[in-house]
Amino acid sequence: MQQEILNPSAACVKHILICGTGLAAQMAVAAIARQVPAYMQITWLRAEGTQAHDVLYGGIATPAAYDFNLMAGVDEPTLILESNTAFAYGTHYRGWNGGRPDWVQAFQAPFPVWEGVLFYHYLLQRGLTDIGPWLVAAQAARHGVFAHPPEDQRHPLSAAEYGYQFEPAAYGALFERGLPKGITTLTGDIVRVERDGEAISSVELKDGRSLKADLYVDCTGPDARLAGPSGRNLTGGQGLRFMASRAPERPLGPPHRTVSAGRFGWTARTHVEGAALHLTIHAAADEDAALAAHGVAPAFAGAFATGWRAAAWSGNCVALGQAAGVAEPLTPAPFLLLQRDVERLVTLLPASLDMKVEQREFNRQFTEDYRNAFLFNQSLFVGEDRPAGTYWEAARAAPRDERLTQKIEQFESRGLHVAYDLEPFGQEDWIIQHFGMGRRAERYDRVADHTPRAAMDRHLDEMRQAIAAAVRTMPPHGAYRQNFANFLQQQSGALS
Amino acid sequence: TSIHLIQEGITELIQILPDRRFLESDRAEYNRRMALNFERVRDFLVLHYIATERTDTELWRYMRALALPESLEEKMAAWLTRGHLIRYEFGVFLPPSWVAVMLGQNLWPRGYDPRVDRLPEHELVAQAEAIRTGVQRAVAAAPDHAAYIKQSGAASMTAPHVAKAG
Repeated sequence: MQQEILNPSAACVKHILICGTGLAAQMAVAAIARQVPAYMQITWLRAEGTQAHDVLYGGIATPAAYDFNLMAGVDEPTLILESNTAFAYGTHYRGWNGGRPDWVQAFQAPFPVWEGVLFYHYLLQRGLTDIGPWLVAAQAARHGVFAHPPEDQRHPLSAAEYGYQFEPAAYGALFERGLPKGITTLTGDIVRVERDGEAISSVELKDGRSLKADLYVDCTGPDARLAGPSGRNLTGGQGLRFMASRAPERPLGPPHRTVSAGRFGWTARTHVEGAALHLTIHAAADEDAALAAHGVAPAFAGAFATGWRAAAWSGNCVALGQAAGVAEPLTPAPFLLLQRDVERLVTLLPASLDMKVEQREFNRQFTEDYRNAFLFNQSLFVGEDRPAGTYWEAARAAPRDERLTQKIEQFESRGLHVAYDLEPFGQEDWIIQHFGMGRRAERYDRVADHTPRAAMDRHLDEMRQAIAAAVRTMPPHGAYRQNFANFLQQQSGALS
Repeated sequence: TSIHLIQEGITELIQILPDRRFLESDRAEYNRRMALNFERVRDFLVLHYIATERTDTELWRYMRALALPESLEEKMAAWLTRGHLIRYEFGVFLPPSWVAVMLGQNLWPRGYDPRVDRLPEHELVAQAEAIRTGVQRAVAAAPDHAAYIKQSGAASMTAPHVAKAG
């Protein structure tokens, strides 16, 4: 017998309080406000001050950002015309492998399958150790050129995917434009969070105001003002320090972030229109060496610990972004996880004040996402020829997740990718990283032996040359961005 | 389901075909993949039985009293609370199959995703009606099953096709 459907207005969540000032809050407000029905009121509490820790999102967004941004009301023309955001084909890792060549961790469309075999097995079959020449995004990144992938699937560039390089303040501001009406925005400092058992009953502000809601969303960063730092149970933690700054740069740099290893840790350069963003991550003991490598006077500096909460959603409070977990911005993991946190909450907006089902499912997905993303980061420390130093010793000494052991073991055994459900980083990401890290597969997919060798040699060579030829025709990143912006401006002028 | 599991086993074995060393890592990965497959198929199959109101035979009484796997309990709780389907990447049954079995077993959600309330009810009704009408038209236009097989070149309506020896 069909059960009675709840009246939508009975015992449902009617008021969501989102606390935070930086990127996490901006993205959460924009996304959630566009999804909730009219009877759900949103209040956004912004704290005073800056969000220095937003630099720890790394300044690089994966291709997944495109769809997220559309959901949150930011389209690509807005991104390009109203911020200094630039394009990204991936990350260039330098000096990561001792004497081995560096590599571009490129964003890549699904690998082609030839005669029933994933194409990279033909590289393994031939003992080839560099996948880069067969990745159009990697080649374009190295040459500092960019163009949008064409729709024609026969064009080599159609296999490239791209993301963005961004400056947190400028990128976050985009989400505040065109926010739906009806959001109450307040500014104030939280002095106390009143609790009733596991649930939050109110948020007390410095000026005496008391805010009450049905659902509290903590986007306050690593301090986790609502979810509570004292209740944290970070897993996989590592204490590190960061310094960040920006320096003028013209013309626009390449369409990739560069991560360079040093004894102290690593430095990153991210390129946005008009500036290069410097980020250095280091062990506390190596501050001087880190400062020297950083290259410019730091505008921000601080400490952070990596790891994630045992439960991001507890009672009526859900933590997003760095309030939930902090990943080292060595890969796009931090920003990708923030996006997934927001998307996850949007799909699990509570149907009633009893949020246990949503809480359980959110935490299950959250734990899987963070655990799997951390595998991708941790994998960058597994292998020979890593630099010596406090930072590297600590990274190597961290307990290794058994899933990572299986992934590396199977790749090195037979070139096989071990996958878990809905991982943040997919097969292509992992295979490119394995090649880049110098991992060698002892075996390969033997079905590849069915294809006549000479024919496949020609096919591989044709692919490599087609990519090289396509890259030679592409414009410099800066010129492309400028021309694209001009085109968009003309389009918006023609439409107005 | 059985045929799928055979196919899955063959596909995984081809992917993880061992060499003479019979590495433990190969065994472990094959077993992990197949165990996941079996667990998810198990949940789907058990779901066909557990919402029953029947008590007329030992089978049905057994099913009513069955302790459910935690994974299935979570799926059902999410569905019954808000019509939410817990999704996985690896598993043969896609969300529409789960919806069909849940509703077919009379497991109706008590609540729903609040995002639905963004749409005016008349729009929801119109869209649902359009889907229903589209399905009815497509079904009405589809040929009879037996006729379709025959026109597709079935050898015979009566005699089974037996490969000739030699």
